[in-house]
Amino acid sequence: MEIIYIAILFFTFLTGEAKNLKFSVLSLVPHSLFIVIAVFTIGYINEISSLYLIGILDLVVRAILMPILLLKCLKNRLEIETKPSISHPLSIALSIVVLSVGYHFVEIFKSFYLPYVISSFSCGLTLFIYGFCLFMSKRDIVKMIISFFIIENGIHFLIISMIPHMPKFIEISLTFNFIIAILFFVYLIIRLNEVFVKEEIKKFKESNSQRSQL
Amino acid sequence: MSFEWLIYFFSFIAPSLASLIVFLFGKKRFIKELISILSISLAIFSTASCWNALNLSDKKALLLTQTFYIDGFSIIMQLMVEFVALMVILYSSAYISKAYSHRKENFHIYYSVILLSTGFMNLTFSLNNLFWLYITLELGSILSVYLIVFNLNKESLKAGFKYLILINVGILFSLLGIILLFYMAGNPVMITNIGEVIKSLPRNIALLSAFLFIIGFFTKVGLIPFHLWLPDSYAESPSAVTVFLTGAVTKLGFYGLVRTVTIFSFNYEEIKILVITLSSLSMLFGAILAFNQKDIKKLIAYVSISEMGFIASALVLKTYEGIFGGVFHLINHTLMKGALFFATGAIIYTCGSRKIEEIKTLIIKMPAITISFFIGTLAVGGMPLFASFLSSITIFLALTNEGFLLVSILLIVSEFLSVVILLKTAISIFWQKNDKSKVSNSSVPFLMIFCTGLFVVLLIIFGIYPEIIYPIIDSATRGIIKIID
Repeated sequence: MEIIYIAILFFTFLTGEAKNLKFSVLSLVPHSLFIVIAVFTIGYINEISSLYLIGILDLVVRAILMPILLLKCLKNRLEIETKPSISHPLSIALSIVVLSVGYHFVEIFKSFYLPYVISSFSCGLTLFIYGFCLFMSKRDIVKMIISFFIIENGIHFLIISMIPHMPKFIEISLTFNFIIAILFFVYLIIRLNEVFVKEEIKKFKESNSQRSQL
Repeated sequence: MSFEWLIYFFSFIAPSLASLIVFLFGKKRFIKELISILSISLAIFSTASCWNALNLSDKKALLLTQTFYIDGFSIIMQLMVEFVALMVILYSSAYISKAYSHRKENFHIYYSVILLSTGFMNLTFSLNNLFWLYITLELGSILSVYLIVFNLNKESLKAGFKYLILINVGILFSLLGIILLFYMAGNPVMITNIGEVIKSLPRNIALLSAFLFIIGFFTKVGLIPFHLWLPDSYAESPSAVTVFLTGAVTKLGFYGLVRTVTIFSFNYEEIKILVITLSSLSMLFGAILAFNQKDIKKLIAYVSISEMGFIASALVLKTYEGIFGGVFHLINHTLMKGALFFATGAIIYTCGSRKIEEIKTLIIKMPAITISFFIGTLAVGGMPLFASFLSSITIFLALTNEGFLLVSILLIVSEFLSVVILLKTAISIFWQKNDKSKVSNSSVPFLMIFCTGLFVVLLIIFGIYPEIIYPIIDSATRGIIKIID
């Protein structure tokens, strides 16, 4: 299990820190796939059959639908992220600290105070904290959605770890909420990109007409 | 399930069904308005029946199979949202056709989203399980994004994005709080058992959980320091939508706050102090930041933040008076902001600008709107004769009796600052010698004047005859206190 969690955290790091947005979005695929594997494994180890359904739902929504929608957001725009509020080396250093030290700290905390909680707790809480740090430091709208996605994945893991027998209907509704939110995000970004493109074309035409007048 | 419950369910079924009908067939002339008004009227009837049943029963709440829970506070929130939705629909029918004519093809979606959002909000106020409450609360909030970005220009899209990302991330903290409570309780946490669950929690866990709820619901309400989404969203959305946001959508956050943080604050003094400190920040900085605004809607938005600080501080007080004052001010806040934003909408409708300096040069004389704006402004200042005077004074006394004298002084100071900036703006806009100005009420459609006027009339009626509204506020207050007991 530990290897799966480390793989999730590694791909989270790539997703969060890659300057190229396409690479960042594509890194979400293995990140989400490992989450699906973790959910299936937890279901198998703890004999919780309802988690298989959740795993399938995660596969469709988190590993397939989400990256496709995010790739759509990259249409009509530069693939390099907008400059974040902290420098890139500092951001990388912070990410390594949160994802490695943070994870181990949470793991120790869990084994002392919450021994009965399922193993995904540490990874979930780390993802939540890391996603929030990322959210605070990024200015790019696609990166902000990625941070939201990471936070949401963290919450998803926390729910599984603490309430594995949660009624399926609630879990499905939470995922439905998540999809609705993401759809709205995509709608807004596509519209924003269109507006930016229109503005650029307008500026270009204006500068052309000025040149011709000269 | 009895037939009576089916009638109660109409409060959320009617708007949701109407939303679907309007979405499918609303392109035809008047259908969208007619169906919207009918469905909201049905919802109001349903809530009124519920209120009647609650009055007849000995209990302080109606409960159905542990899934639905309706008490006085649920009813007051439902009525408020339904009234606001009705006003917004009436106002929009006159307003958006001219101001947003470039979105003519999507008017039916606009109405459909308002109805669906109202349906989800009413469902939120009827649910017992905190997880369900979270899901419907989030859906109700997310849908509002479509309304904020209705203009589809760069600024509105940016404001919509800010709203969506901040609300979503913020509200996830409250989900974390719910998960923590669920884990510690070992069974689903309901409104009916949250009081017992909180009492049985270890102190650290309880404080952590309350802190998570505070982050989540303060973001939803838009209180400082979680307010970043609010001024832009209020400013960039159509004025009718701004009233919907301030009168209904932010009230969802208050509902969540009352159902969770209020109960924590009754058991833990630290939570009460934390909430009152944060609310004081909102009161003061909301009023101060309003001074710096050049956009009339942003100015009112900051004044709104300041006032929401009063409400939040009152709702965590451990007294009947405190909660009563908080609930009363919740209603008054809706009425005051409704009057101000509708009046502002009429100004924007005629001038085509939100900038105060531009409005000064473009404004035409609109006596009804001018009077409404001035009355709204005086009500914000908590002047006698207006309902806000009674609620402000109740909160002031409750804060003082609980030992928060400094905060109660801050309340008066921020009210004074708010009324000064609003009066200054109103005088500079309406009270100028402009020979070009002509008296022209006809340029503002009757329905817009009617909706603005109705908010103003209610502010005065509830101020002069508060006994009309006292029973329902009393029932809401007792409903909140019952959960805590």
